[in-house]
Amino acid sequence: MFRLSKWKRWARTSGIGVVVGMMLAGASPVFGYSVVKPSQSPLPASGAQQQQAAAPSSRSDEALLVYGREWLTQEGRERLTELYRMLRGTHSKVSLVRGGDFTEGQLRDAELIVAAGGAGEEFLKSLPSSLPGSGRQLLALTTEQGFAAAEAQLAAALDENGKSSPEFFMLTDVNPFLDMDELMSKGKWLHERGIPFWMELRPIFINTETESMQRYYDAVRKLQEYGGLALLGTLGGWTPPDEWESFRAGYEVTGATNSDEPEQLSGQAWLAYVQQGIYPAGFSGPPDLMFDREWEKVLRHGSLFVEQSEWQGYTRDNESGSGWEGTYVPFEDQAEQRGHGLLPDASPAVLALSASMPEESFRNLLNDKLRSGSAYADPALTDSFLHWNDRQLVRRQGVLTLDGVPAVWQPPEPPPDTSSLPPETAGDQLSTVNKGIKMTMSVLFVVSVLVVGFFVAAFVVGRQINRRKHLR
Amino acid sequence: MEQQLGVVDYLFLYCMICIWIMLLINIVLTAGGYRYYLKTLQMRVDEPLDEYPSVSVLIPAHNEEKVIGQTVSALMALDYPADKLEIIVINDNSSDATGDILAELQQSRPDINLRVLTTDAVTGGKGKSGALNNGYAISKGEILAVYDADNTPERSALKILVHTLVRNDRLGAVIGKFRTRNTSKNWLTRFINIETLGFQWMVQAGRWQLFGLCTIPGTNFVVRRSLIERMGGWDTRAIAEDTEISFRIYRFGYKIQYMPLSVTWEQEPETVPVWIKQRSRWVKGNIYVLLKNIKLLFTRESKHIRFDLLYFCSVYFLFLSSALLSDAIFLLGILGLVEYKIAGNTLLLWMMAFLVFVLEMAIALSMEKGQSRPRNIGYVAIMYFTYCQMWLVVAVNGFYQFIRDAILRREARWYKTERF
Repeated sequence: MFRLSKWKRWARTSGIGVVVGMMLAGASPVFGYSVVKPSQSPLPASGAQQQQAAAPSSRSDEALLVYGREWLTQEGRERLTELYRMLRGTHSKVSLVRGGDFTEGQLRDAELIVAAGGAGEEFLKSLPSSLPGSGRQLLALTTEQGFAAAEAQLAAALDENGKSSPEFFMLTDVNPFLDMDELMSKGKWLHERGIPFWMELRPIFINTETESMQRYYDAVRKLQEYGGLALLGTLGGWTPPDEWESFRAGYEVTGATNSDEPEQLSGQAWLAYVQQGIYPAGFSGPPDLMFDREWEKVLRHGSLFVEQSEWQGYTRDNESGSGWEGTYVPFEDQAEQRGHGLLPDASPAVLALSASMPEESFRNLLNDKLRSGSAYADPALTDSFLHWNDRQLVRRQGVLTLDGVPAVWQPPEPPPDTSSLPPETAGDQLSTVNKGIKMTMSVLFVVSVLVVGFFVAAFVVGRQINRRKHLR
Repeated sequence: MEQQLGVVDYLFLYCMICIWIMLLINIVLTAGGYRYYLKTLQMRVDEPLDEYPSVSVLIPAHNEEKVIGQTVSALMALDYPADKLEIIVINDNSSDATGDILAELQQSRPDINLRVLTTDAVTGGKGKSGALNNGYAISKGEILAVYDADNTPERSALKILVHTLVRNDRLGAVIGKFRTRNTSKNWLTRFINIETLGFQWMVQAGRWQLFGLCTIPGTNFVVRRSLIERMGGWDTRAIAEDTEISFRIYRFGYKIQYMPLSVTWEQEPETVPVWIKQRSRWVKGNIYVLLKNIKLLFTRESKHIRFDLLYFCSVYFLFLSSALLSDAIFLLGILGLVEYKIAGNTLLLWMMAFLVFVLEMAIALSMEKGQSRPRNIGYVAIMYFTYCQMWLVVAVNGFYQFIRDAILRREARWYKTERF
């Protein structure tokens, strides 16, 4: 159900932390958090107030997360990533900047500057409490009382304005290998209970024309009718890069496609879905993707990212995470169990359940949630866009357009009835038997040509022999 | 979507496979026949024997007044020691002047050992096999020769056959060639002339060259008396007695050689109804023989005749059914009622099949003096669409008669070919 246990996550993170720590040993010991206000949001602005409430992408604020010594320890990095997620849910852009590296411009543009680490951080001295003409607010978080305390402090600050963001529901890892009937049953059940949902689709870029794939596409289209909104998941088999593994080791698709670039593969998958009348709104994956150089290129094509699991622990490069600008929906942590990771009310959150989860457990869990008062917002009201090459899919105020016109899918024209065509024009659509027959006929033709040549010669010679015989 | 083949496609495929299997077999046989033809050019079959065996020539005759005089005259003129030759005409329950003609011939040539065995409805009238059994019963020759009542053998015909038989102990019988006497009568006889030459140079000569097999054609052949004795005479239930006796000779371990230098000329049907009746009898008779011997396919002792069994089975069952089916598919296709999805250039392949057929026949014609002229090649091309298609009618008719007689338990009736 939830992807990785805390202990597993910590175990992996601690390993990576040693290397990352060594890499950063020569850097400034001062770290921080910041949120930078986006200057030009690629997202269309939302209109109706109601839609704004349900559309986290409508905000245009930036946060700056400044850090110092927090990056030096494993626990500190975890705190930073958790704070980053919390800020991501409420701010469309979050920049991580080492203390001392920030510029005045960054400070001026940020609506919220979060200083991680507490009163002991040296960089705090260089952060002015206020800048003339900027609306930014400085929040110094203390970690001396632990992780949870820092998160709670940030949550309280974020919730100061009293804004409450919606909670979403998501079906993860929807793929062709599932039991389609069960999948449809879950979709119908969600529809009957008025739960709109995101559905994370596995990217598919090969064998998209097969019969079983068509059945899969039919099922996903039906899920869309049930209130499902597609998100493009991570590449099948892909795992975030590990410092101890080959970077590409996780690509199962290698050799099956004409490229192993995530950007190109994801583009192919997106286009394949769009051509089938399935319109992904954004991306979905573990938050680590935000910090991966390869995925940074992918994420540039869209403006919506929905977490489907906890942080996997692969923090490689905070620049990548800082670069992306768009709507971010964090994964709803089980805060009660972990004692931290509580998302503020101001942040949207997503409850993600695997599509392969047994149906009964699936229903029971959601029923419990509904009984406890949870309500799930309609993801379709979240503004977003996705583009690849010349094609653009835009959702604005619940209206979907593809390349500027309302997206309405028409079933493809049935293939021409090749049975009425002469067999020669059927071309590559020949069955294996028919191909064998055709090849045999070609061989037979060559043989018959040889026989005809031999017989003609025999006939001419035979006539000559006969003539001489009777002349004797 | 891949094109999936339907029932019509598989039927069409069956036709193509059967037709091309037969075509390929005939290509091989033609090559064998051609090789044998080249061998015959070097043969010296007229070298005399030290001692000639006695020969009884059997001529079954039932109401043969139109042709019997010419036939017996030709037989009396055979180049064979008169003291070793016995001509037995079985005047089998004739109601015409056959007996009178034979009596006259007897009187005109008292130097010839011409014997006439006259039977009536009680003692004869059992068809060709019965007549041959009657003639064989009174014959004395070490070798038996058989000629049909409408035959005109060349003078050397019998001697060549006997020379060949005596010089090879492994031979149980030797068959000669038969030519069409009335070729120029009409289109039908021209077609028959081409057919008989094609059959003999391709099927007979080719099988002999490649497999040591031949089928006795019913006339112009010699067979060892000892073999007829061992087999107890001709099978009176077989109306294709020639094919039937061939299989029995095979089973005794003997071979039957085709000797094309021994020639007889015979009269062929001049009208389609007569031709259909005669050929239907052949088909019916051959089916009987095939079914009688089909079990030999699975015995080791008869492995040397397996090819013949398979060949005739292919001709009468596979080829016939496929030819009928392909014609039906062709006609239904023209009417737009069916269509096939078989890939490949079937039209081109069909044209090649036609070309191969014409050339096979042309090669056979090239082995006979004056037969390979362009007009005859034209006849071959036309035959493919006419005469060959008529064979389908004959084959179906023969099958029908066989099944009908088998169900009604009718005794096989021997149809005597009408003479002209």
